[in-house]
Amino acid sequence: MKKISFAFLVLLCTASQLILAQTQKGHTNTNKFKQLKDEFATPNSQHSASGAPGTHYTQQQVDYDMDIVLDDTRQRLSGFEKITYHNNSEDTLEYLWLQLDQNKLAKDSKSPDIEIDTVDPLYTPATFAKKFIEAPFDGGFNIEAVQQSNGNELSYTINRTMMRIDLPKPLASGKTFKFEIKWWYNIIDHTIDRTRSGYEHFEEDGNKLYVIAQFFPRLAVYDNVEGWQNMQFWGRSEFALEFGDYKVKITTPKDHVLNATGVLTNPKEVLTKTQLKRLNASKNSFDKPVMIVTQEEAEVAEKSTSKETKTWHFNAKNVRDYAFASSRKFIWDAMAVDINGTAVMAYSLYPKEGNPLWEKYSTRVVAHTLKEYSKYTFDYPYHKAISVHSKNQGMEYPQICWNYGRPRKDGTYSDRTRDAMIGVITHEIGHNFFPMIVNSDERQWTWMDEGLNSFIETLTELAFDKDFNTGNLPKDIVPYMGGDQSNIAPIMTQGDQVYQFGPNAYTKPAAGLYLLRETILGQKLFDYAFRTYSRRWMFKHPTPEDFFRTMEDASGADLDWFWRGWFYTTDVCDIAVKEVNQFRVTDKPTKRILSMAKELGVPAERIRPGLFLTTDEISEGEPEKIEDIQLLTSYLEKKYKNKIAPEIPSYVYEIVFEKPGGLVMPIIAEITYEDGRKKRKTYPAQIWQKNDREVRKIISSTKAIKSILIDPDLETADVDTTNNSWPTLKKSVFDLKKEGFKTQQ
Amino acid sequence: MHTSIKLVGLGLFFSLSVAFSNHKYYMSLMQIDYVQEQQALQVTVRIFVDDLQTALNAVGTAAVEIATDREPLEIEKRYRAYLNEQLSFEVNNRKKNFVYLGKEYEENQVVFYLEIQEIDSLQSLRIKNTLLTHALNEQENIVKTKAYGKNKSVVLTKNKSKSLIYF
Ligand SMILES: [Zn+2]
Repeated sequence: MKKISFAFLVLLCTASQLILAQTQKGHTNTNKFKQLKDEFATPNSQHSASGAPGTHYTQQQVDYDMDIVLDDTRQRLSGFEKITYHNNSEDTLEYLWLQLDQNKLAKDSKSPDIEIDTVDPLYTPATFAKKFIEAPFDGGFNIEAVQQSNGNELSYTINRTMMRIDLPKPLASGKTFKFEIKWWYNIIDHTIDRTRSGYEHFEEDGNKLYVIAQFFPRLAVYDNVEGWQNMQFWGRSEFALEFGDYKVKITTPKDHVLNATGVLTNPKEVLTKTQLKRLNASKNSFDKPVMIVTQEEAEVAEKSTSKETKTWHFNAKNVRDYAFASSRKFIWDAMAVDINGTAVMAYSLYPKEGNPLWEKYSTRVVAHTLKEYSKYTFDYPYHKAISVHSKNQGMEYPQICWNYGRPRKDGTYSDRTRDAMIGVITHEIGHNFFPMIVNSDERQWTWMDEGLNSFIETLTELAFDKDFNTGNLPKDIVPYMGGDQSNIAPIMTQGDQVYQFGPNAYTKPAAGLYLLRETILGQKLFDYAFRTYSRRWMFKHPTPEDFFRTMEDASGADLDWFWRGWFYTTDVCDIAVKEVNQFRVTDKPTKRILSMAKELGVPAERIRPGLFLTTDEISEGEPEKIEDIQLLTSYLEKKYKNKIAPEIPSYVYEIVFEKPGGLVMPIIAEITYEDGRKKRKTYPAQIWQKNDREVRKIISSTKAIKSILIDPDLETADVDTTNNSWPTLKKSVFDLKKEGFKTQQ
Repeated sequence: MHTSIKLVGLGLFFSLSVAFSNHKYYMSLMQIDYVQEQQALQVTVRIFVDDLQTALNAVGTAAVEIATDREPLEIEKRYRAYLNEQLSFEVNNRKKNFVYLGKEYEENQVVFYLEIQEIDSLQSLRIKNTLLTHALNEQENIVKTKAYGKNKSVVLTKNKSKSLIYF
């Protein structure tokens, strides 16, 4: 008995091993349409499942009262700031983190250390001296005091571009903490070192044009997503900032023209009577800019240097940052913009070197941008937006931004220069919406402001000029997406780790949203959802999930597949027509049905009468056309008695679509018939749910199909269009071009 | 490729030490297709106009403007010379010259059409591409090939300007 059972056991074991060996390995759900439950943060009472701010959403507030002095002779900026920190979170804080962006330019900055060097084939004396001879620029904050309002010093620690202030006693939820910082730093020439803030020196007249930002110690964001957002500022990934109210006094040379974030509260002290009069006139000028400071006046001002000073007073409510521009070279023009019944001012500040381009376009582009963005988001809530001329950069701050676009020395300019300037002004003014108001965390996610902004910028430019080369359309991102994979990162990558910054964080998200709006959701559904997101997160801190969830919540579309493919992977779109098979319709059992019948033991004469699609040779006595098939015609006659019967198709085709690319995307097929007429059919992306590689569609028509073309308008960023045609094109684009060049010669 | 001439901002394009350019990235695209029936390698090269202008002016003595009404009449000659300097091809281990067919301006890119002729089969292709890298540190030259129904691609940069591809 024992023996037997042992043997039995052995037998069992062998059997189960055998079964194991034969069993296939399982797998988890890898479907492209799988929901993003694993990737998304779990919704909570601050960031809700709908994508809206939750019932317990909180946000800190930080108010600044600052006294700033611009020393034009030494190019030095100094300041004394009083900060009021409101702890609106439910947490108790032991310390505060502040951002010291200027320390990126300190002598001991580590930013240059992480740059990968290459040997240049040629150095100018200036670039050689800078790299190999001269001491680094003496930049960075000099912190002179960190104290409470009673003068008591606060303990603080500087970790490169971040400063921690240790609170004398923990700051409870709902409490405020007031403190003061005194600082100064040397201002850099931003045209040489390519920094966002600094001055440009004009050799001809010896004057400087200052664009000043990131100039004061600013509070880092504290929220329940990152805790303190205190990742270092390396120079690329930008800012995460709290909203607050600013009271700022800026002292400049008396002959400077300045503008800044906020409402100017002492215009009579800093502007001339003429300037004030013109400024008042501009408030009613909705069709063209009014000159507040003319070119002639600016040219007079730049010929001398005032030793006296004046102080400009500004109040800014609910802004996330502060910046200003100042120079005696500034020309200033202004016009009013009607934003749904509220007048907002559009200003431009530029030196004569920007003309005649700037007087012609800048302020008008600002006005156009405010109107268009307001359509897609919310009415622009601030009282003004300023475009400041800056030699070679575009950079954004609340209500004020720097833009390039400089004509040649003789005042002429190419269309390229003009369009570049229109493009950059649209972009930087657009940043007032993202991230200045819809205030995402730029340090973490560059695409959330750059991508969304580049997208609305694209719509705005196309509204300005329908042929504008925006560079942000799906076709424009194809070379990047189709490029070498080792050099591409998913959009959902922290900004400093991205390989190709521009295409990754600007063009790809912009092109993706354009595709989503035009091709997948349609304008109406998309615009409602996008506006919902913008409004929900106005003056708040959204996360990527808040955007993704709101777009689905408000449009009623499950877009997880789209976010997954476009934002979380580097997959490409490539859809091909693999083959097209033409069928004949017959009432005679085909070879296929006959063999099926045989297998089932059904005699041929017992096969139920029916219609069969086949590619078999036509045999004697078979109907040649569909309308000759009695079985069908008698059915239709009966059904449509006294009604108009639909036309009987003459052709039936099977189209095989193949998807070499990893992305799922709608199939847009343009069918051209023998008579030249075209018909377009779009199959939703969900067609790929059951088969990610190949799908078949059977279509009928009254006319023969001459050709099929996938994605005729280049809407889907298909990286290989050579497989988009049936029949395969005999002549490639290259061949056609080659013939063209030959005939030209 | 591209994006317009726009640069977007520093906010944008902030790379700590590069020369200014009018668009968001420094990239050229070379598509090489082997067309067996024609025994030819068809080469299409796309470059941003601004970048090409910067590069031409970095090597030449007389500054030029391209794709504007100030473009010199003999620009074509200069393009040929520049492409010959910066590009070379070895097919099946043998150096091969290319024929310059022509160029077109497309939005803010220039597109060159080149052809390498008399290629009866393709086993290997060695490419040297130093377009723009001598003037723009961050330049990336993407090379995509298609032969015998297969796609291969490489990225060439200042530090790696050559690549050998087997088919
Ligand atoms: Zn930007």
